[in-house]
Amino acid sequence: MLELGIKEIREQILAKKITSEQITAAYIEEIKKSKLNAVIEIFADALDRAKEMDKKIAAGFTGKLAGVPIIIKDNILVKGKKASAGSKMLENYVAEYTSTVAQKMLDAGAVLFARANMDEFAMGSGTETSYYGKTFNPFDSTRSPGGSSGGSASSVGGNLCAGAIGTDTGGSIRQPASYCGAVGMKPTYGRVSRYGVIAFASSLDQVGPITKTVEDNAILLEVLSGEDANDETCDKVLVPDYTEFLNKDIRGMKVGVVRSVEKMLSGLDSEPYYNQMKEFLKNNGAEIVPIEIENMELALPVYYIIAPAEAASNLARYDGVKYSYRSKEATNLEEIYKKSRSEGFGKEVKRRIMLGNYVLSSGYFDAYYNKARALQAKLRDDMLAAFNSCDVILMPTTKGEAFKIGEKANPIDAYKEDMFTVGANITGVPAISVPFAMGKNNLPVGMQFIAPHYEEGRLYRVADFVEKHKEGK
Amino acid sequence: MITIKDINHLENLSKLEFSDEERQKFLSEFENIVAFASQITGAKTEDKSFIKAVDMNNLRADEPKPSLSQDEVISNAPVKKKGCFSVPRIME
Repeated sequence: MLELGIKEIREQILAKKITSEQITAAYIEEIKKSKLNAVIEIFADALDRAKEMDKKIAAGFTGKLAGVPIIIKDNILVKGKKASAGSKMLENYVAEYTSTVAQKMLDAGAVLFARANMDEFAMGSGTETSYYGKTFNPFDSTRSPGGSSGGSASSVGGNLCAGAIGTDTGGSIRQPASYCGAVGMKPTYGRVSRYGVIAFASSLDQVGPITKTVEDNAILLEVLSGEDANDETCDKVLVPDYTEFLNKDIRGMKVGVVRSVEKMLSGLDSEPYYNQMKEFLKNNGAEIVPIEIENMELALPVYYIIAPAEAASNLARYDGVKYSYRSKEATNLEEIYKKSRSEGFGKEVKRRIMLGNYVLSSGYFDAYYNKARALQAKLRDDMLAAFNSCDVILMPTTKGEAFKIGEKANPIDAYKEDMFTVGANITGVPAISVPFAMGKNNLPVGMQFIAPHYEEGRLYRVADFVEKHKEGK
Repeated sequence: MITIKDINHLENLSKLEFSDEERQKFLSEFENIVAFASQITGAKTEDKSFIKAVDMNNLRADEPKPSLSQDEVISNAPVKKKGCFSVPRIME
C-alpha cells in the first residue's frame, strides 16, 4: 500500500477500499521506523485532518487530492505549524498564515502530514547543510538523496508518502528526484505562487511536485498552478488539465540536443544514459535536432552570482528582532544582528551571504552582478531562439548517480552538482527530471527535458512516454 | 587578491562575525569561489544598462483588506513588550 502514488491512493479512498486515516497512519508508522531522516516533524494533527477528510469524502467530496497524504518541504508555510527552512534561525518559527500552494492542496483535499528535511534555506545539493542532520538516500544509505529538496525526494523514493512538494532555485527539485528515482518538475517561473514560501533567490525560486509517477506529477502541478493576488510574479496564463498530455506518442516530436551541453557531459557517468535516451527517442519516432545555446557553460557561474546576491538581500530580514533566533550573548542592537546571525545561520548560508554581498558591493557590482544579469538576458534570448527549431530540449539531470555522503565537502564540487539544472532557472523555463536508468551502482539516474515557458504539457507528454516505454518496462 | 581586510568588510556588510580561525578558513575557500564566479567576466554581452529581473508585474487592485493583527505579527518575536518588538536601548 505504501508504494502507491497520489492517483491510486485517491482512487482507493474514493472506492472505500482504504480510508485516508489508514493510509496516513501507515505512512506515519513507516516514517517512525525509517532511518532516512527525511522528515523533520510529523504534524500532531495529521490523523485528525485525515479523519476530517474521510468524513468529507463520505459526504461526497472528490477533490483532486481527496485524502491523499502529502509531505511538504520545510520552507512552506501552513498556519499554526512550524516551518524552519532547515535552519536554527527559524527553529521555533510558527507560521501565522498559510502559503498559497498549501492552501490549494488543502482545498483539493490533501492531508499535509509532515515537513521534509532540506538544505538550510535551500542552499545545498545534498541535504547535508540542514540544522536537523543529513538525510539519506532510500536506495543506498551511504549516499546523499541530493538537495536541497532531499527530504521530499527521499520520502517519495522511500515510500514515506504519496507525493511531496519541493522548491527549485537551481535544481533543488530535479537533482534529488533524479537521485531518488522520482519524477521532479520545476515549473515555469510564474506558474506557481511563492506566497508563504520562505525566499532564497526570488527571481529564480519555484515550487513544484516530486512524485512517484509522471501522472501524479501532472495531477499535483495542476492543483499548485495558477495566478495569485499575493504574488505579482505569478501569471494569469490558463492552467491546462495536464493529464491530457499523457498517453500520447512522441512521433514527430523535435528534441533539441545542445552541443555545448554534450561537451560538458563528455566523460561523466551519465553520458551513456544520455546517449541511450537519444537512441530511445529516435527509435520511437522523435527527431533529434542538434542546437547550440551560446554560453550555456556559463549558466552555473551566472547562477552562483545572481542567487547569492538575492539571498544576501532576502536573508537580511533575519535580524534577531522580528521572528528569528536571537543570541543570548547580545547586549546592544548591532550585537543582536551580528551574533544572532552568526549563531543562527550555518556555514553554507554564511558563505552565500558573503558571496552575495561581495558581488553586490561597490567596485564589483558591474563586473559580477551586472555582467551576470546581462548574460542571463542573453541566455534567455538564446534559449527561446533554440525553441524555434525544437519542441523540447534533452539534457542529463545530474552528472551520474547519487554521490557518497561527505564527498562534496569542497563548496565548488557541491556547486557543480547544479551544472545541468541551473539553465532552466536562469532562463525561467520549465524542466522535468524523469527516472530513466539504473546506473553502475544500481542507483537511479534521471534525464531532464526542458520546454518553452508555460509548456509543461510537452514535458509531461515526453516524460510519460519515457516512463511507460523505457527499457525494462 | 582577497585579503582579510576584505573579509572583515564583507562581514560587516553581511552583519556576521567570524572567529579568527573561521575567517582564515573562509578566506581560502572564498578565493576559489570568487575565481569560479570570475569565469563570466570575459564573456561578450551587449551593454544593457538596466535589465529587469522579472518580466511580469501582475499587480492586484489596490483595495484595503484585513491583514494580520498586531498580536499575530509579533507572535514569533524572540523578545516582545506591550505588543511591540523589543530591543535594547539604542540611545543613552
